[in-house]
Amino acid sequence: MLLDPRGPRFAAALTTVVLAVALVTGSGWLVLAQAVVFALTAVHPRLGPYGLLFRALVAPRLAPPAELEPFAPVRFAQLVGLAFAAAGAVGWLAGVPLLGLVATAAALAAAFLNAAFGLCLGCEGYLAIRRLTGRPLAARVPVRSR
Amino acid sequence: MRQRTNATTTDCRDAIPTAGVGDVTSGGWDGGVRGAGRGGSLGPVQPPRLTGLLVLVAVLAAAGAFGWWRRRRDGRLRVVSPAGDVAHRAALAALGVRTGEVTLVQFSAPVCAPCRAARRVLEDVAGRFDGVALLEVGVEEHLDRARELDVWRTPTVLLVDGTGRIVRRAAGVPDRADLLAALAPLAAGARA
Repeated sequence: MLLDPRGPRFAAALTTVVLAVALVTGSGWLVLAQAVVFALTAVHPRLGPYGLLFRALVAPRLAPPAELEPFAPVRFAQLVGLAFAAAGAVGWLAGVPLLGLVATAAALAAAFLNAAFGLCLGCEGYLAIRRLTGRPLAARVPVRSR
Repeated sequence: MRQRTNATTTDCRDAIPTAGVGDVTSGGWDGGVRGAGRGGSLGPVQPPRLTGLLVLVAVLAAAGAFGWWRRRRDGRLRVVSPAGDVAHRAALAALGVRTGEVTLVQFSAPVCAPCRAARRVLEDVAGRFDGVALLEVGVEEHLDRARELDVWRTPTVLLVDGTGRIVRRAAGVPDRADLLAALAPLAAGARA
């Protein structure tokens, strides 16, 4: 499955705004809503609310994409975001504001790096995590080698 | 625990326009928005917290600096020192790098978005020379080799000369001009 790379970038920008507002207001519910958005997008990119907005409002005004990118890295990023947003929501809502603050800040940093620099922090850290843990993951894609 | 709950309740009430009680404990809140809350427009929305605001500014500044630094370094070709050469040669041979030809080795992962772009750069650059081999290595299948070759990120590109030594390496999508410049003398040698 291939995506217009500007879709996830747009979604990351919206995520940055949502998480920034959540951080300043300390709203656990807003972080929870963002976690749901991450989860939906991870299930299928067409289910993602931000992607829906992108296709309905932004994409028609842009030229067709010069290139497409695979969905696997995007899904992985959504799952990493989901983990942090879920931890943040639990922190705020269960009365552990420090956890809420730290987890939301981490998710915000990753979303901002993606939006501003096109840098997928979770994807970049993937090999480092694999090297340190050494456990095999389910996601396997055949790699062409010549 | 109970006291803590009470304190939170007071803080929340502070957001609701009630005069008197809030004024004593309002130290942490932003005064301007509290004033707006008094107008009754904000309702149950919590006013900004100074801590959250400070964390927001700190996160954006740190992430911005990191992103800028990364963008400058990303894809730069680095000259590799001969240290660790023997172990590297063994790892490269195990991956199928043949001596006698210049090889571009790319480490890729299933969750790597820039790997496609890196592969296109390698294919384009290698196509301009005779006798330059491309080898794409999946880190999932070759985690041990990635460790031995000190690969921490995907994509990572290694430029291996005809004698089996790594002469350049780049983390990120390699810079096309840098790669062409580094490959030209090696590939000419390989052709002879």
